[in-house]
Amino acid sequence: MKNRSKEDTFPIWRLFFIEASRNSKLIDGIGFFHAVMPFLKAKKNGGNLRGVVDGEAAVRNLDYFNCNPMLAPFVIARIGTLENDIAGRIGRRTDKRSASESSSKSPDSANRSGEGGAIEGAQLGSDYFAKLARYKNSLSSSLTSVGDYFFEIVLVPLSMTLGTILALKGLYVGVVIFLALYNFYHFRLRIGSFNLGLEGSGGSGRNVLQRLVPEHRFLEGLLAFTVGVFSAIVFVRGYNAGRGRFVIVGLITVALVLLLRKKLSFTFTIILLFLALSTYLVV
Amino acid sequence: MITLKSILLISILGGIVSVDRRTSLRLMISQPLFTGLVVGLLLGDARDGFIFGAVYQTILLGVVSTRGSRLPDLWIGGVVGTALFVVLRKSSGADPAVMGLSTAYAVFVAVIVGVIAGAVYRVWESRSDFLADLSMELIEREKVQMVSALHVSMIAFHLLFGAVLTFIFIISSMPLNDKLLGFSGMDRLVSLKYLEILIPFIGIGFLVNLLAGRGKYFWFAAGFLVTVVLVNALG
Repeated sequence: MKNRSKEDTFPIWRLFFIEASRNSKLIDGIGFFHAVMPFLKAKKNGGNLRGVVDGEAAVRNLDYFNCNPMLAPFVIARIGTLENDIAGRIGRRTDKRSASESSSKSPDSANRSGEGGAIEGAQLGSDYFAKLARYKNSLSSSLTSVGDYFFEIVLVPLSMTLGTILALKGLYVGVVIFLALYNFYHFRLRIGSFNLGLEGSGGSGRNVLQRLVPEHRFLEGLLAFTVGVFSAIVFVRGYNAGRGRFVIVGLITVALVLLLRKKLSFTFTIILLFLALSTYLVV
Repeated sequence: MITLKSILLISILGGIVSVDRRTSLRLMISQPLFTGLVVGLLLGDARDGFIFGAVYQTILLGVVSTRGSRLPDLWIGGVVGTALFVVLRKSSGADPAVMGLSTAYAVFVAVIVGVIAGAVYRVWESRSDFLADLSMELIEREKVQMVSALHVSMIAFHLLFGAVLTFIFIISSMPLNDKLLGFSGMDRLVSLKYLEILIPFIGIGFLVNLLAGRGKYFWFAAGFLVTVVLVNALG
């Protein structure tokens, strides 16, 4: 087995803080640049991830970036790998043209053809890199939609609801189950999507999710089931504490949340209902 | 009474919560279920912290941010709220009125702190364009490592941001905590203890709202009915 040195091991921690320098101009562009930097170093230093960064590549990669942070590692790995592939391809084509022209012409014309090769290489490069930027944006967009769905709509509510059900029963293990379930999928997607990106497989956002979490549809069903369990527990608790009175108050509260959320933010909905419930209990 | 050392430790937890939420670390150690337990442990009453964490968590079950939508810092609010809840309960002498009031008070403070902390953060966000300008300038001057350093320094900024806000909120809420002890003996407030039973209904509303339109009603009904049957069968 090949021993991996510090120089060729990607610093994985960079994938975990992409949003740290979020701003409205580049969104997470600085975070993306920070994460993709080791690839740009490898390009300049023959595979060494801890050398100097290629200047042009640096300018190119400090750009707008907005992607779901859990699946952003896929984009980082794809763009980093493609940057290096493109640079290699341009270099080979430029060298080939220069070599073939210099072998058939005088030394003076060989110099000129070397310049021609460089110009052609630069044009080729700008075409490729413009395509790469478009690819980055479309990939980010598709991954954001999939990532938001899986994390915010399925995984976070599922793990939190499971943990809370146990916690309401006074079981400390609820915290452990909540963190373990969430982070199992969290790491699987962050690290897994990065590895998929390195391999060059995965394709669109939906494919990435399907490859890494094939059971995501099952988890969505499990969430609905868990919410059902949670609701039943809360209603039974309400019935035991205040009989039919609390059950009716509970039903009205749920209906009001559904109505208010159409017009109000989370915060106002919470404040209004909280004040209403407190007033009901005191008066 | 709460010691300065405890406040400082809880403030550091507030900073960690901020890092977890704002830097995309997202280990979910910012959730009240976890922070409630930790704050309780730091204040010497894990049980109370855990109970409040669980109740407050029920409100946040369906509170999710999609497509970059902004949410208030309800998670930092959870840290502050738990601290006030535990301290108030410890100093209440088990008075039923103050015990009842403690949940209402702590949830209210947690939400308000969340709103204020979120507003303060938005002020920072609206001025954070200088980060983009600065990093572009640094790249043009080929100071690439400085861009990296700037990014990493923002992790420390978020830690400090959360810690300072938590510290300020706890310190400024303490006098109100002491005043609430004056409500001891007020029978009318005793019924507020049922908030712990009623607040989770808000969470159900948010969760149902989240599930709406996803066509999973069968599984929701199945979970509900199976639980009701099991609870009845097992007594």
